[in-house]
Amino acid sequence: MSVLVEGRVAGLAFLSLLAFLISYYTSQIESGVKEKIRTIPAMEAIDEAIGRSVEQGKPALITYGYFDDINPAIMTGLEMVGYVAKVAAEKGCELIIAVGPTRTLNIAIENYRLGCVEAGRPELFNIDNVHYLTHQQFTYLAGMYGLLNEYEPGAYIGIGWFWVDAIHIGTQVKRLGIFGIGGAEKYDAGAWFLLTMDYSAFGAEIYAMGASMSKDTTAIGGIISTDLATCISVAILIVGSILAATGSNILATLMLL
Amino acid sequence: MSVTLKKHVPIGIMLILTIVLMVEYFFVVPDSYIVVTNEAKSFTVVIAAFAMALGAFNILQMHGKKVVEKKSGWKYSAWIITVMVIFIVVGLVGGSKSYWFVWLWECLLRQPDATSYSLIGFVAIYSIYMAFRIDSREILYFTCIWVISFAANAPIGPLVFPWLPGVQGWLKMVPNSAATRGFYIATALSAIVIGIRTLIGRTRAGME
Repeated sequence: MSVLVEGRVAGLAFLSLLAFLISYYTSQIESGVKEKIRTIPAMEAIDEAIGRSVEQGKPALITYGYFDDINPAIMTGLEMVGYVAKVAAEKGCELIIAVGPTRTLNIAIENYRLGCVEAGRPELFNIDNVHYLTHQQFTYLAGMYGLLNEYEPGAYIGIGWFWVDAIHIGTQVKRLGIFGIGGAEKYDAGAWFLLTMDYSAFGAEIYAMGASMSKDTTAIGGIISTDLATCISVAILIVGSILAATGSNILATLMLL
Repeated sequence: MSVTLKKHVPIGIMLILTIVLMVEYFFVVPDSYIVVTNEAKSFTVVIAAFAMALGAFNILQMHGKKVVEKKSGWKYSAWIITVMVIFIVVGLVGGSKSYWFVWLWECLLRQPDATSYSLIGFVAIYSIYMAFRIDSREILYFTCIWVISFAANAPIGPLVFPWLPGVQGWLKMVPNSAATRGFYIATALSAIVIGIRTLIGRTRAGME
Protein backbone atom coordinates (compact mmCIF):
# COMPACT_ATOMS: atom_id res chain seq x y z
CA MET A 1 0.00 0.00 0.00
CA SER A 2 1.38 3.38 -0.99
CA VAL A 3 2.05 5.97 1.71
CA LEU A 4 1.76 8.90 -0.68
CA VAL A 5 -1.36 9.90 -2.59
CA GLU A 6 -1.04 8.92 -6.25
CA GLY A 7 -0.38 11.87 -8.56
CA ARG A 8 0.94 14.15 -5.80
CA VAL A 9 4.49 12.82 -5.37
CA ALA A 10 6.03 15.28 -7.84
CA GLY A 11 4.14 18.15 -6.16
CA LEU A 12 5.49 17.17 -2.74
CA ALA A 13 9.01 16.86 -4.14
CA PHE A 14 8.79 20.30 -5.75
CA LEU A 15 7.36 21.91 -2.61
CA SER A 16 10.13 20.33 -0.52
CA LEU A 17 12.73 21.61 -2.97
CA LEU A 18 11.27 25.13 -2.76
CA ALA A 19 11.24 25.03 1.06
CA PHE A 20 14.85 23.80 1.03
CA LEU A 21 15.93 26.59 -1.36
CA ILE A 22 14.25 29.26 0.80
CA SER A 23 15.85 27.96 3.97
CA TYR A 24 19.27 27.62 2.26
CA TYR A 25 19.30 31.15 0.80
CA THR A 26 17.86 32.68 3.97
CA SER A 27 20.61 31.10 6.09
CA GLN A 28 23.21 32.24 3.51
CA ILE A 29 21.96 35.84 3.76
CA GLU A 30 21.77 35.68 7.55
CA SER A 31 25.38 34.47 7.68
CA GLY A 32 26.44 37.60 5.79
CA VAL A 33 26.61 36.42 2.17
CA LYS A 34 25.55 39.31 -0.08
CA GLU A 35 22.93 38.24 -2.58
CA LYS A 36 22.06 40.67 -5.34
CA ILE A 37 18.37 40.81 -6.25
CA ARG A 38 16.86 42.47 -9.28
CA THR A 39 15.32 45.90 -8.84
CA ILE A 40 11.77 46.59 -9.93
CA PRO A 41 11.20 50.07 -11.43
CA ALA A 42 7.71 50.35 -9.91
CA MET A 43 9.21 49.72 -6.48
CA GLU A 44 11.95 52.30 -6.98
CA ALA A 45 9.32 54.82 -8.12
CA ILE A 46 7.46 54.86 -4.78
CA ASP A 47 9.93 57.35 -3.26
CA GLU A 48 9.58 59.55 -6.34
CA ALA A 49 5.78 59.38 -6.15
CA ILE A 50 5.68 60.42 -2.50
CA GLY A 51 8.30 63.14 -3.10
CA ARG A 52 6.20 64.50 -5.96
CA SER A 53 3.11 64.62 -3.74
CA VAL A 54 5.05 66.55 -1.08
CA GLU A 55 6.31 69.05 -3.66
CA GLN A 56 2.76 69.61 -4.92
CA GLY A 57 1.38 69.87 -1.39
CA LYS A 58 -1.07 67.08 -2.13
CA PRO A 59 -1.73 63.78 -0.39
CA ALA A 60 -0.82 60.37 -1.83
CA LEU A 61 -3.45 57.69 -2.23
CA ILE A 62 -2.90 53.97 -1.76
CA THR A 63 -5.24 51.03 -2.28
CA TYR A 64 -4.82 47.26 -2.53
CA GLY A 65 -7.95 46.29 -4.45
CA TYR A 66 -11.40 45.09 -3.56
CA PHE A 67 -11.26 41.32 -3.19
CA ASP A 68 -12.46 40.22 0.24
CA ASP A 69 -10.02 37.42 0.89
CA ILE A 70 -6.61 37.02 2.42
CA ASN A 71 -4.78 35.87 -0.70
CA PRO A 72 -1.12 36.54 -1.63
CA ALA A 73 -1.98 39.63 -3.73
CA ILE A 74 -3.99 41.23 -0.92
CA MET A 75 -1.25 40.37 1.57
CA THR A 76 1.34 42.03 -0.66
CA GLY A 77 -0.93 45.08 -0.89
CA LEU A 78 -1.20 45.19 2.88
CA GLU A 79 2.59 45.02 3.21
CA MET A 80 2.75 47.86 0.73
CA VAL A 81 0.39 49.96 2.89
CA GLY A 82 2.86 49.70 5.78
CA TYR A 83 5.83 50.52 3.59
CA VAL A 84 4.21 53.48 1.83
CA ALA A 85 2.90 54.78 5.18
CA LYS A 86 6.47 54.74 6.47
CA VAL A 87 7.90 56.52 3.41
CA ALA A 88 5.05 59.07 3.45
CA ALA A 89 5.51 59.75 7.18
CA GLU A 90 9.27 60.19 6.74
CA LYS A 91 8.65 62.79 4.04
CA GLY A 92 5.73 64.40 5.87
CA CYS A 93 3.19 63.45 3.21
CA GLU A 94 -0.47 62.91 4.04
CA LEU A 95 -1.56 59.42 3.05
CA ILE A 96 -5.10 58.45 2.04
CA ILE A 97 -5.88 54.75 2.25
CA ALA A 98 -8.76 53.27 0.26
CA VAL A 99 -9.78 49.88 1.62
CA GLY A 100 -12.03 47.50 -0.30
CA PRO A 101 -12.00 44.21 1.61
CA THR A 102 -13.90 44.26 4.92
CA ARG A 103 -11.89 41.45 6.51
CA THR A 104 -8.56 43.18 6.12
CA LEU A 105 -9.69 46.67 7.16
CA ASN A 106 -8.13 46.30 10.61
CA ILE A 107 -4.83 44.99 9.24
CA ALA A 108 -4.64 47.98 6.86
CA ILE A 109 -5.28 50.43 9.71
CA GLU A 110 -2.66 48.71 11.89
CA ASN A 111 -0.06 48.64 9.09
CA TYR A 112 -0.70 52.35 8.43
CA ARG A 113 -0.24 53.13 12.13
CA LEU A 114 2.91 50.99 12.36
CA GLY A 115 4.37 52.67 9.27
CA CYS A 116 3.94 56.09 10.91
CA VAL A 117 5.44 54.80 14.18
CA GLU A 118 8.43 53.25 12.38
CA ALA A 119 9.10 56.57 10.66
CA GLY A 120 9.14 58.28 14.06
CA ARG A 121 6.03 60.31 13.22
CA PRO A 122 3.14 58.62 15.07
CA GLU A 123 1.23 61.92 15.12
CA LEU A 124 0.76 61.62 11.34
CA PHE A 125 -1.52 58.61 11.80
CA ASN A 126 -5.04 59.82 11.10
CA ILE A 127 -7.89 57.33 11.13
CA ASP A 128 -10.04 59.72 9.08
CA ASN A 129 -7.66 59.11 6.16
CA VAL A 130 -8.71 55.46 6.00
CA HIS A 131 -11.71 55.13 3.69
CA TYR A 132 -13.67 51.91 3.62
CA LEU A 133 -15.24 51.37 0.18
CA THR A 134 -16.68 47.79 0.29
CA HIS A 135 -15.60 44.65 -1.49
CA GLN A 136 -18.33 44.94 -4.16
CA GLN A 137 -16.23 45.55 -7.26
CA PHE A 138 -18.13 48.44 -8.83
CA THR A 139 -19.19 50.01 -5.57
CA TYR A 140 -15.50 50.01 -4.67
CA LEU A 141 -14.82 51.55 -8.05
CA ALA A 142 -17.40 54.30 -7.49
CA GLY A 143 -15.66 55.05 -4.17
CA MET A 144 -12.29 55.21 -5.92
CA TYR A 145 -13.70 57.66 -8.49
CA GLY A 146 -14.95 59.79 -5.60
CA LEU A 147 -11.67 59.74 -3.68
CA LEU A 148 -9.54 60.48 -6.74
CA ASN A 149 -11.70 63.44 -7.71
CA GLU A 150 -12.15 64.73 -4.17
CA TYR A 151 -8.51 64.68 -3.09
CA GLU A 152 -6.79 64.89 -6.51
CA PRO A 153 -3.75 63.24 -4.95
CA GLY A 154 -0.22 63.83 -6.16
CA ALA A 155 0.38 60.10 -6.43
CA TYR A 156 -1.71 56.98 -6.75
CA ILE A 157 -0.26 53.64 -5.65
CA GLY A 158 -2.46 50.63 -6.30
CA ILE A 159 -0.87 47.26 -5.64
CA GLY A 160 -2.91 44.14 -4.91
CA TRP A 161 -5.98 42.49 -6.37
CA PHE A 162 -7.59 44.26 -9.34
CA TRP A 163 -9.56 43.20 -12.36
CA VAL A 164 -11.47 45.34 -14.85
CA ASP A 165 -11.57 48.09 -12.22
CA ALA A 166 -7.90 48.62 -13.15
CA ILE A 167 -8.87 50.25 -16.47
CA HIS A 168 -11.42 52.55 -14.82
CA ILE A 169 -9.05 53.63 -12.05
CA GLY A 170 -6.16 53.98 -14.50
CA THR A 171 -8.20 56.20 -16.79
CA GLN A 172 -9.19 58.50 -13.92
CA VAL A 173 -5.58 58.65 -12.72
CA LYS A 174 -4.44 59.57 -16.22
CA ARG A 175 -7.25 62.11 -16.72
CA LEU A 176 -6.43 63.90 -13.46
CA GLY A 177 -2.69 63.94 -14.23
CA ILE A 178 -1.80 61.91 -11.16
CA PHE A 179 1.53 60.10 -10.93
CA GLY A 180 0.45 56.45 -11.00
CA ILE A 181 2.02 53.20 -9.86
CA GLY A 182 -0.05 50.09 -10.48
CA GLY A 183 0.56 46.47 -9.67
CA ALA A 184 -1.81 43.55 -10.11
CA GLU A 185 -1.57 39.81 -9.79
CA LYS A 186 -3.83 39.13 -12.75
CA TYR A 187 -2.17 39.70 -16.10
CA ASP A 188 -5.21 41.35 -17.74
CA ALA A 189 -5.36 43.96 -14.95
CA GLY A 190 -1.59 44.31 -15.26
CA ALA A 191 -2.00 45.09 -18.96
CA TRP A 192 -4.43 47.92 -18.13
CA PHE A 193 -1.99 49.29 -15.60
CA LEU A 194 0.78 49.04 -18.19
CA LEU A 195 -1.35 51.26 -20.44
CA THR A 196 -2.43 53.86 -17.94
CA MET A 197 0.18 54.10 -15.17
CA ASP A 198 3.59 55.70 -15.09
CA TYR A 199 5.04 52.54 -13.55
CA SER A 200 3.48 49.12 -13.48
CA ALA A 201 4.20 45.62 -12.24
CA PHE A 202 2.26 42.42 -12.57
CA GLY A 203 2.25 38.78 -11.60
CA ALA A 204 5.30 37.57 -9.70
CA GLU A 205 6.74 41.11 -9.80
CA ILE A 206 4.28 42.41 -7.20
CA TYR A 207 5.32 39.64 -4.80
CA ALA A 208 8.96 40.47 -5.39
CA MET A 209 8.10 44.14 -4.69
CA GLY A 210 6.45 43.23 -1.40
CA ALA A 211 9.37 41.06 -0.43
CA SER A 212 12.17 43.41 -1.43
CA MET A 213 10.72 46.38 0.44
CA SER A 214 10.39 44.35 3.63
CA LYS A 215 14.21 43.76 3.60
CA ASP A 216 13.46 40.56 5.47
CA THR A 217 16.04 37.79 4.96
CA THR A 218 13.31 35.20 4.29
CA ALA A 219 11.77 37.52 1.71
CA ILE A 220 15.05 37.96 -0.17
CA GLY A 221 15.72 34.23 0.10
CA GLY A 222 12.20 33.73 -1.25
CA ILE A 223 12.81 35.92 -4.31
CA ILE A 224 16.00 34.02 -5.19
CA SER A 225 14.28 30.67 -4.61
CA THR A 226 11.30 31.67 -6.77
CA ASP A 227 13.58 32.67 -9.63
CA LEU A 228 15.51 29.40 -9.36
CA ALA A 229 12.32 27.34 -9.14
CA THR A 230 10.94 29.17 -12.19
CA CYS A 231 14.12 28.28 -14.12
CA ILE A 232 13.75 24.63 -13.04
CA SER A 233 10.08 24.64 -14.13
CA VAL A 234 10.97 26.12 -17.52
CA ALA A 235 13.76 23.54 -17.93
CA ILE A 236 11.29 20.74 -17.12
CA LEU A 237 8.87 22.20 -19.72
CA ILE A 238 11.57 22.35 -22.41
CA VAL A 239 12.96 18.86 -21.67
CA GLY A 240 9.41 17.49 -21.48
CA SER A 241 8.50 19.04 -24.84
CA ILE A 242 11.63 17.61 -26.51
CA LEU A 243 11.03 14.16 -24.99
CA ALA A 244 7.37 14.24 -26.02
CA ALA A 245 8.38 15.24 -29.55
CA THR A 246 10.74 12.24 -29.71
CA GLY A 247 7.98 9.91 -28.55
CA SER A 248 9.12 9.43 -24.95
CA ASN A 249 6.69 10.06 -22.10
CA ILE A 250 9.10 9.30 -19.25
CA LEU A 251 8.95 12.84 -17.80
CA ALA A 252 5.17 12.98 -18.02
CA THR A 253 5.00 9.63 -16.18
CA LEU A 254 7.37 10.94 -13.50
CA MET A 255 5.31 14.10 -13.02
CA LEU A 256 2.13 12.06 -12.65
CA LEU A 257 3.57 9.70 -10.02
CA MET B 1 -0.87 42.13 24.80
CA SER B 2 2.32 40.08 25.08
CA VAL B 3 4.31 39.14 21.98
CA THR B 4 3.71 35.46 22.74
CA LEU B 5 -0.06 35.89 22.68
CA LYS B 6 -0.12 38.31 19.77
CA LYS B 7 2.39 36.63 17.49
CA HIS B 8 3.71 33.25 18.61
CA VAL B 9 0.42 31.57 19.53
CA PRO B 10 -1.34 32.39 16.20
CA ILE B 11 1.75 31.34 14.22
CA GLY B 12 1.89 28.09 16.20
CA ILE B 13 -1.79 27.35 15.51
CA MET B 14 -1.35 28.23 11.82
CA LEU B 15 1.75 26.00 11.52
CA ILE B 16 0.09 22.99 13.16
CA LEU B 17 -3.07 23.32 11.06
CA THR B 18 -1.09 23.72 7.84
CA ILE B 19 0.95 20.58 8.59
CA VAL B 20 -2.23 18.67 9.45
CA LEU B 21 -3.90 19.74 6.17
CA MET B 22 -0.78 19.11 4.09
CA VAL B 23 -0.45 15.60 5.48
CA GLU B 24 -4.02 14.90 4.34
CA TYR B 25 -3.28 16.28 0.85
CA PHE B 26 -0.04 14.40 0.21
CA PHE B 27 -0.31 11.23 2.29
CA VAL B 28 -2.78 8.36 2.47
CA VAL B 29 -4.51 8.84 5.84
CA PRO B 30 -7.24 6.97 7.76
CA ASP B 31 -10.85 8.18 7.62
CA SER B 32 -10.73 9.37 11.24
CA TYR B 33 -7.96 11.80 10.24
CA ILE B 34 -10.12 13.16 7.39
CA VAL B 35 -12.91 13.85 9.91
CA VAL B 36 -10.45 16.01 11.88
CA THR B 37 -9.27 17.92 8.78
CA ASN B 38 -12.85 18.52 7.61
CA GLU B 39 -13.62 19.95 11.02
CA ALA B 40 -10.56 22.21 10.75
CA LYS B 41 -11.65 23.38 7.29
CA SER B 42 -15.14 24.26 8.55
CA PHE B 43 -13.51 26.51 11.14
CA THR B 44 -12.31 28.79 8.32
CA VAL B 45 -15.96 29.78 7.73
CA VAL B 46 -16.37 30.63 11.42
CA ILE B 47 -13.12 32.63 11.51
CA ALA B 48 -14.04 34.44 8.29
CA ALA B 49 -17.39 35.39 9.85
CA PHE B 50 -15.56 36.77 12.88
CA ALA B 51 -13.23 38.79 10.66
CA MET B 52 -16.24 40.11 8.76
CA ALA B 53 -17.97 41.07 12.02
CA LEU B 54 -14.79 42.80 13.19
CA GLY B 55 -14.66 44.73 9.91
CA ALA B 56 -18.34 45.71 10.25
CA PHE B 57 -17.76 46.85 13.83
CA ASN B 58 -14.81 48.93 12.69
CA ILE B 59 -16.88 50.59 9.95
CA LEU B 60 -19.54 51.40 12.53
CA GLN B 61 -16.92 52.85 14.88
CA MET B 62 -15.15 54.93 12.19
CA HIS B 63 -18.28 56.32 10.58
CA GLY B 64 -20.24 56.59 13.84
CA LYS B 65 -17.52 58.86 15.20
CA LYS B 66 -17.72 61.01 12.08
CA VAL B 67 -21.49 61.37 12.46
CA VAL B 68 -21.34 62.16 16.18
CA GLU B 69 -18.59 64.76 15.70
CA LYS B 70 -20.28 66.14 12.53
CA LYS B 71 -17.00 65.98 10.59
CA SER B 72 -16.90 66.82 6.89
CA GLY B 73 -18.80 64.25 4.84
CA TRP B 74 -20.72 63.01 7.89
CA LYS B 75 -23.86 62.64 5.80
CA TYR B 76 -22.15 59.96 3.69
CA SER B 77 -21.08 58.22 6.88
CA ALA B 78 -24.67 58.33 8.14
CA TRP B 79 -25.82 56.87 4.82
CA ILE B 80 -23.33 53.95 4.95
CA ILE B 81 -24.46 53.12 8.51
CA THR B 82 -28.14 53.34 7.49
CA VAL B 83 -27.68 51.04 4.50
CA MET B 84 -25.58 48.60 6.54
CA VAL B 85 -28.23 48.44 9.28
CA ILE B 86 -31.04 47.99 6.72
CA PHE B 87 -29.20 45.10 5.04
CA ILE B 88 -28.37 43.44 8.39
CA VAL B 89 -31.93 43.79 9.75
CA VAL B 90 -33.63 42.61 6.55
CA GLY B 91 -31.13 39.74 6.21
CA LEU B 92 -31.54 38.63 9.82
CA VAL B 93 -35.35 38.90 9.87
CA GLY B 94 -36.23 37.37 6.52
CA GLY B 95 -33.05 35.55 5.53
CA SER B 96 -30.93 36.04 2.44
CA LYS B 97 -33.60 34.46 0.19
CA SER B 98 -36.47 36.70 1.36
CA TYR B 99 -38.26 38.99 -1.11
CA TRP B 100 -37.02 42.22 0.47
CA PHE B 101 -33.41 41.10 0.79
CA VAL B 102 -33.36 39.94 -2.83
CA TRP B 103 -35.08 43.19 -3.87
CA LEU B 104 -32.45 45.29 -2.04
CA TRP B 105 -29.68 43.25 -3.58
CA GLU B 106 -31.05 43.21 -7.11
CA CYS B 107 -32.36 46.79 -7.27
CA LEU B 108 -29.84 48.69 -5.18
CA LEU B 109 -26.65 46.80 -5.92
CA ARG B 110 -26.91 44.62 -9.00
CA GLN B 111 -28.25 47.27 -11.42
CA PRO B 112 -25.65 49.98 -10.81
CA ASP B 113 -23.03 47.21 -10.80
CA ALA B 114 -24.14 46.00 -14.23
CA THR B 115 -24.29 49.59 -15.52
CA SER B 116 -20.70 50.23 -14.43
CA TYR B 117 -19.59 46.95 -16.01
CA SER B 118 -21.21 47.83 -19.31
CA LEU B 119 -19.24 51.08 -19.41
CA ILE B 120 -15.96 49.18 -19.73
CA GLY B 121 -15.98 49.31 -23.52
CA PHE B 122 -16.23 53.12 -23.55
CA VAL B 123 -13.71 53.54 -20.75
CA ALA B 124 -11.28 51.22 -22.54
CA ILE B 125 -11.52 53.23 -25.77
CA TYR B 126 -11.11 56.47 -23.81
CA SER B 127 -8.13 55.03 -22.00
CA ILE B 128 -6.55 53.82 -25.22
CA TYR B 129 -7.11 57.23 -26.81
CA MET B 130 -5.48 58.99 -23.86
CA ALA B 131 -2.79 56.58 -22.84
CA PHE B 132 -1.79 54.68 -25.96
CA ARG B 133 1.38 56.58 -26.66
CA ILE B 134 3.86 54.22 -28.26
CA ASP B 135 6.80 55.17 -26.08
CA SER B 136 8.19 51.75 -25.30
CA ARG B 137 8.82 48.47 -27.07
CA GLU B 138 6.21 46.73 -24.90
CA ILE B 139 3.49 49.19 -25.96
CA LEU B 140 4.57 48.74 -29.61
CA TYR B 141 4.11 44.93 -29.39
CA PHE B 142 0.86 45.49 -27.53
CA THR B 143 -0.40 47.85 -30.25
CA CYS B 144 0.56 45.54 -33.14
CA ILE B 145 -1.20 42.55 -31.55
CA TRP B 146 -4.20 44.69 -30.63
CA VAL B 147 -4.50 45.95 -34.25
CA ILE B 148 -4.29 42.38 -35.63
CA SER B 149 -6.86 41.05 -33.12
CA PHE B 150 -9.17 44.01 -33.68
CA ALA B 151 -9.00 43.66 -37.47
CA ALA B 152 -9.48 39.88 -37.33
CA ASN B 153 -12.56 40.21 -35.12
CA ALA B 154 -14.15 42.98 -37.19
CA PRO B 155 -16.41 41.51 -39.93
CA ILE B 156 -14.59 43.40 -42.68
CA GLY B 157 -11.09 42.24 -41.59
CA PRO B 158 -11.17 38.63 -42.84
CA LEU B 159 -12.95 39.76 -46.05
CA VAL B 160 -10.10 42.11 -46.96
CA PHE B 161 -7.28 39.98 -45.51
CA PRO B 162 -8.34 36.30 -45.45
CA TRP B 163 -5.12 35.31 -43.63
CA LEU B 164 -5.89 37.52 -40.60
CA PRO B 165 -7.89 35.00 -38.49
CA GLY B 166 -5.09 32.46 -38.95
CA VAL B 167 -2.47 34.93 -37.69
CA GLN B 168 -4.69 35.93 -34.79
CA GLY B 169 -5.31 32.28 -33.89
CA TRP B 170 -1.59 31.51 -34.00
CA LEU B 171 -0.79 34.54 -31.81
CA LYS B 172 -3.43 33.44 -29.33
CA MET B 173 -2.57 29.76 -29.22
CA VAL B 174 1.23 29.78 -29.47
CA PRO B 175 3.07 32.87 -28.10
CA ASN B 176 0.17 33.94 -25.88
CA SER B 177 -0.34 30.48 -24.36
CA ALA B 178 3.40 30.04 -23.79
CA ALA B 179 3.76 33.44 -22.12
CA THR B 180 0.63 32.89 -20.04
CA ARG B 181 1.96 29.55 -18.76
CA GLY B 182 5.28 31.13 -17.83
CA PHE B 183 3.39 33.93 -16.12
CA TYR B 184 1.24 31.52 -14.12
CA ILE B 185 4.20 29.34 -13.10
CA ALA B 186 6.15 32.35 -11.77
CA THR B 187 3.06 33.81 -10.06
CA ALA B 188 2.11 30.49 -8.45
CA LEU B 189 5.66 29.94 -7.18
CA SER B 190 5.74 33.44 -5.71
CA ALA B 191 2.38 32.84 -4.05
CA ILE B 192 3.76 29.64 -2.46
CA VAL B 193 6.75 31.60 -1.16
CA ILE B 194 4.40 34.21 0.36
CA GLY B 195 2.52 31.33 1.98
CA ILE B 196 5.72 29.90 3.45
CA ARG B 197 6.76 33.34 4.73
CA THR B 198 3.35 33.84 6.35
CA LEU B 199 3.57 30.40 7.90
CA ILE B 200 6.76 31.30 9.71
CA GLY B 201 5.44 34.75 10.64
CA ARG B 202 7.67 36.80 8.38
CA THR B 203 5.03 38.86 6.56
CA ARG B 204 3.73 42.13 7.79
CA ALA B 205 0.22 41.34 6.60
CA GLY B 206 0.21 38.39 8.94
CA MET B 207 0.49 39.27 12.55
CA GLU B 208 2.61 42.19 13.52
